Amino acid sequence: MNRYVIETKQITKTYNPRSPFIALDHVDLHVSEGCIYGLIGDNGAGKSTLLKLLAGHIFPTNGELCLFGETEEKALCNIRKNIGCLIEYPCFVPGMTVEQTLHYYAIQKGVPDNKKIGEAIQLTGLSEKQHAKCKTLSLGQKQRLGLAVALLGEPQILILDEPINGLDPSGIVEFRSILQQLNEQKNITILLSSHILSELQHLATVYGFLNKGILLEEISSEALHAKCANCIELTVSDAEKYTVLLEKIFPEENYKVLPGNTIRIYKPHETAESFSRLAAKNDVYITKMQTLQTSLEDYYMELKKRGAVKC
Amino acid sequence: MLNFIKSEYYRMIHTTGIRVFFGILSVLTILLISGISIVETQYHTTSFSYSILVSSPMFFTLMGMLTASVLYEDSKRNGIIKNSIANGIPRGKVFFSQCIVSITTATVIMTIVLTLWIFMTELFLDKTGPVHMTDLLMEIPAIYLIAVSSIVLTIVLCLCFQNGAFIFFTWLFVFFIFPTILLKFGIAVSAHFKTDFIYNIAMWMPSNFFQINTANVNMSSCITAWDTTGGMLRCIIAGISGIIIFMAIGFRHIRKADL
Repeated sequence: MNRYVIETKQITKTYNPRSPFIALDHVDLHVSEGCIYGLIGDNGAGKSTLLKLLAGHIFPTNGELCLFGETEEKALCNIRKNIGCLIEYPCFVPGMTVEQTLHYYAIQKGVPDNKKIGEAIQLTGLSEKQHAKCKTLSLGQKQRLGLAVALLGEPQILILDEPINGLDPSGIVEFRSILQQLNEQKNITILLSSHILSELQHLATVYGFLNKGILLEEISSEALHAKCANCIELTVSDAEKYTVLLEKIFPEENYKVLPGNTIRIYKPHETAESFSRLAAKNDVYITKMQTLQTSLEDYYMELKKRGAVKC
Repeated sequence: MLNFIKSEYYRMIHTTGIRVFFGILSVLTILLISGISIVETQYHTTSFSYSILVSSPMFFTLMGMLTASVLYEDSKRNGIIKNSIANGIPRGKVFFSQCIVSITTATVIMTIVLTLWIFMTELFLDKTGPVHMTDLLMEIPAIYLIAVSSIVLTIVLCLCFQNGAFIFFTWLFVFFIFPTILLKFGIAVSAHFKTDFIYNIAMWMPSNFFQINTANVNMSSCITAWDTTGGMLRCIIAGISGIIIFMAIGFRHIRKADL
């Protein structure tokens, strides 16, 4: 069984005690070792607040934070040495160069080997900018530097808040492949937030949907895929004959006939193979078969609606 | 904690802020003493040169504040605190390390600039008058802990606020404005109610007791607050009290504050 490296138990965070604003409301987050956890939510949903709590920037109003099974503040501090963070806008000393910034954090993290600095620069594609001052870097380059800093000291967990903000399209692809590489080769657990769902879809193995401070659902990518795969579309040689067969053999299926001999079966009870076999046995040719999925965006919007109703 | 302190020294060496500050202080010292030595007036004496510093002990607290400000005014904006805490350095240690770094830096700068001041004074000016080098040297232990408390207060303010002007005016209020108000209030209370309680409290505040007790440092006399054992003890106790109070506020703030 996978252990949780990050876990929150009924975490609540309230700002401004006079007119309270609940940023996080009894959140139970579970991040397993080795996964890429995508935290999804609108602006102001509480993503950054949750990540700041994990990084130790803020304290919870209620609830418990658990890192590698530890909950004591002193132990959490020690454990944070194994966590690389990039939270909100990456901030650095403007007068220092990229290389100096990495040296500065390497000394702070107790990384004795200067090779690690070179590796981090190489990995994040900052070789050309290593002698440039931080104040001259673009947002995308600062994000890369933030990742390089987070990678110093070989962390077991990476916490990244909107890491692709400011990156150009090729930068996004590169960033994604770096994260995948780190996850696969070094088994680094990654918790990243974004409101660009299509980006998370390429990376995450587990999703957490956060809305107005409430964690609506945690779901693995496989389970999400299965849940979203809610329609099979068949294009057959004889739609009339096939629908008669469907009524007879699979009466519980809900279908709709579309123009061009196309039949759409909604939330099928049978597998695609069964539909294929049925056609073959009865001399109906399937010229096209595809599974239609609800997009992550649609799924999130539906979940939000349901969450709002629950609230 | 040692790693954090080391990294802060690395940052200090590789950024211009503290070097510029040190450069300005050194150049001003050279210009001032040169100016005094060039102009042939009654002020062309070592006594006048030393009296500039001996008559204004609170100048050292200002320098302490400026050193800490140069080092940490931007610490919130530059992510120094947030990144360090995310790297697993306990909050209390971040604050304490910042104090250590600022105090050692200010001490080194003070030592070099004062050495330069004394060297130039002894070399270029006439050795006459009531204020001697020993008065300046005796001022250092008297004012040192008070200057340290000024540094600690500045670090606390840098943790609380991002605006440099706000940091400066709050510091000014704590070190000058509030003691002055309390002193005036204490005098008024003792005149009307025949009790010196508030006045006595006000007289433990450095700007007040220095203002009253070092008023006699001039071209004809040199009577300082630290001349007597009691005076020196008052300086040391005020310094230690300031350090303890501001440290306690700093620890309490950083342990509970959301960054």
